[in-house]
Amino acid sequence: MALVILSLLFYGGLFLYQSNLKKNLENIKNEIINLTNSRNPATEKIIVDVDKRVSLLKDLFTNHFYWSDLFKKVEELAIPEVYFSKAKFSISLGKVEASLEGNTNTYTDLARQIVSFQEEPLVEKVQVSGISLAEEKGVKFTLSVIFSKNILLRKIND
Amino acid sequence: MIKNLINIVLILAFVAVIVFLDVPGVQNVLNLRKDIASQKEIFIQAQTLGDKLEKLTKSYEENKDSVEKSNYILPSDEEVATLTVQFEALAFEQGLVLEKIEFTTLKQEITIREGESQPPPPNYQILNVTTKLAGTYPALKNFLRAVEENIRLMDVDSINFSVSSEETPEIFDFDLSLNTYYQ
Repeated sequence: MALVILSLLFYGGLFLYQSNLKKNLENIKNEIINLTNSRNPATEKIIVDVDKRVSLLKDLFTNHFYWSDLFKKVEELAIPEVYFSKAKFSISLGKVEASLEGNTNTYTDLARQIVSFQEEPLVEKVQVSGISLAEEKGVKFTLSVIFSKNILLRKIND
Repeated sequence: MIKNLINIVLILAFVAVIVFLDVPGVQNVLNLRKDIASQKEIFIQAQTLGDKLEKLTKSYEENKDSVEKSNYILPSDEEVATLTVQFEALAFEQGLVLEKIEFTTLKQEITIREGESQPPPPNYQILNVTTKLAGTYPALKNFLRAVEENIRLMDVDSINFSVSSEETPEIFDFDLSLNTYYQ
């Protein structure tokens, strides 16, 4: 008899505990609904779009070219005795290709010019062609210089 | 005899209460506790997400001006008319003569990844601008600096220049090709 009463009492306790748990579960579910309802999907979409745009801009700025840095470097490397009258710069296969047509007074100056480019760490290759005496005075030539693409890039802060 | 019968009935009643009430009750309680635990986890995740979103929204509101500026850096359209005006102004400010300007939309190469039937849409489009300018070498350098710092992002792709004529060795003809972007 006592066992039956005890098991019934146990069930009563379980029933009360179950009701309490159900109420708790309902409360948590309501709070989740409230939290979800308090969100603003329109603003969230804007934020997601802005985030994507920022990532894209960061990528574009990381690969943004600063050609003025290249010209500054070429000026540093050009010796005073050389005059460049024609130049072509282009980007190909991740390198900057430069073709410089110029004049100088002597072959020695031309050699100094070649060495000046060759000693620059950002220069990967130097070739010279079309070396001949100019009609008026001095020596004319075409220098083909391959620069690392890094010459156009600057480090940006996060 | 009656006592034995009562005992059997009580034992059966005890077993019935255990089997039909207590065991399912315990099972229900265990299931509810499990549900509460999972819902609490969802609640914590929703709360964390809500906090993050609140911070992001605040940050967005505080930086709305910068966000607006990004529309100038990467506009939603080619905006060829604005670009034409910008190039004319940039050339004029640096003392260069803008002799020619052409715009070409470049198609981006997009690779289809494994398992994808269609390629993803490109994040941005490229508009190629080719210009012909005339002026001095220092003016070109200033023009390049201005292009580098221009609010609309532009990347020079190639530069060709040569002396305009032997009578005026300080004046050059410049051919510039550059890429600008839009979404």
